[in-house]
Amino acid sequence: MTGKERYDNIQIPGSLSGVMQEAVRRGRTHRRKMRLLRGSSILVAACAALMITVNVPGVAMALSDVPVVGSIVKVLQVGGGGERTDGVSVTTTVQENTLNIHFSIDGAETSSAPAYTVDRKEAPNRLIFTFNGVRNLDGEKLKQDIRALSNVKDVYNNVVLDDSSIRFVVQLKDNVDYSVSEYQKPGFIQLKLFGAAARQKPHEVYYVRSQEMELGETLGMLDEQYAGDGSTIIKTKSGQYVVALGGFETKQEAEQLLGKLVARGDYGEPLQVDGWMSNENPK
Amino acid sequence: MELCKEKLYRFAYCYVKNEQEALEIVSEATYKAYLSLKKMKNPEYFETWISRIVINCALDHMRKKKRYTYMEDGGGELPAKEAPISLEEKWDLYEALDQLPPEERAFIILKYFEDRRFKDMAEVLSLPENTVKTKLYRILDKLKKHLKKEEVVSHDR
Repeated sequence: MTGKERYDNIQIPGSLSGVMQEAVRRGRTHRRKMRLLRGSSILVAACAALMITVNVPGVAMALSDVPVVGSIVKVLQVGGGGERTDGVSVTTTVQENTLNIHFSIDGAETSSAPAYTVDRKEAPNRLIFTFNGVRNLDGEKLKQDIRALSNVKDVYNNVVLDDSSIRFVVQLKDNVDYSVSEYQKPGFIQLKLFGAAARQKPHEVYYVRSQEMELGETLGMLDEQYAGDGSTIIKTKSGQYVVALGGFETKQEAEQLLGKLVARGDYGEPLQVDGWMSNENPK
Repeated sequence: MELCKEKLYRFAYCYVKNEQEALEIVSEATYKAYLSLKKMKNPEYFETWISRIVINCALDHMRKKKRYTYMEDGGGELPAKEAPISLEEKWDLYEALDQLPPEERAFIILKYFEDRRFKDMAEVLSLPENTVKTKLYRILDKLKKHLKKEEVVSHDR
């Protein structure tokens, strides 16, 4: 019997269909969980934003140049807002240190911003924007506009395994503060960057991180696997990417987290504890 | 997926030669494919796309198990003492697969078991067509040397 004949004669187990159906069920459950998680984190973030809005140090700065069009919904630093939409197109315009993110459906401006979240992380100092219910984005134009802001060090996309969401990271220069304002009628988001009131001394921050890898499906799946643990995707010094969890002040805290992750059933891709300065990218 | 499930299983089985593990690979590939279904750009190339996922899952599985041994590259030259070997008549490529590093097995499976054209192989493996040709010939050459060496050893016994 030739190799090909042996290949063709490999016996197909009767359980194959059942195994595949079970895998699809597992995928469906995972997707549902992620949707719920995203929904609940938007809700939590929105509540947090309400509290933060009162206390944002840069609110005065954010409102210093309120645009004539649109009415302000909120000003925040960390949190989210917007309304559930689908198929929204995203465009950007830039003015000195202000970025405006506009939204439209079939060429007409939307009355409110789509559901979004903003998060801030250190090591390095970066803002993570996520927009849900959007499908069309000129990524290159967005990057070009954000890079034009003089307080921005870098901008890059994240992989989201959901083609109705986009996520991008704006890496800020040292001692830069910001405000995010949401407007309605028309809906748009305004990011303002300005000098921080107090200078921050660089310090070491500890993370549980993955190996460096290209921006692709593997990275996206790993990030999704640990989304519930607060994972983020960070660009490395060499231009690749890692999935990182934590942002601790001590190495012990990161080691404890790693221990918990290793003991979990879904642990596969090797993770390690690493530390780098709060104003630097990982190696 | 239902239409090509047997093909996917055979593909996975070639890597592990074990029903339970082959089912694990197909299960993982199905799960990953479901999650990234929306990312698939050309539905008409579904089989190519899913084959690539199965290969990647099989490689991940092998890496996790790390229990394979295979021949090294660049074995010593042995004198050719017979006519050129006709692949399918002389060799059992199905058996020879076990001698190859996991990363190289897909080349043999696609070409000799699934009768795919180089162009299709290039799509599945995400490599340029010429690279696929060069790699396949290098793998065959390596196998040829290894099998000849085995023949000499068994003849000497």
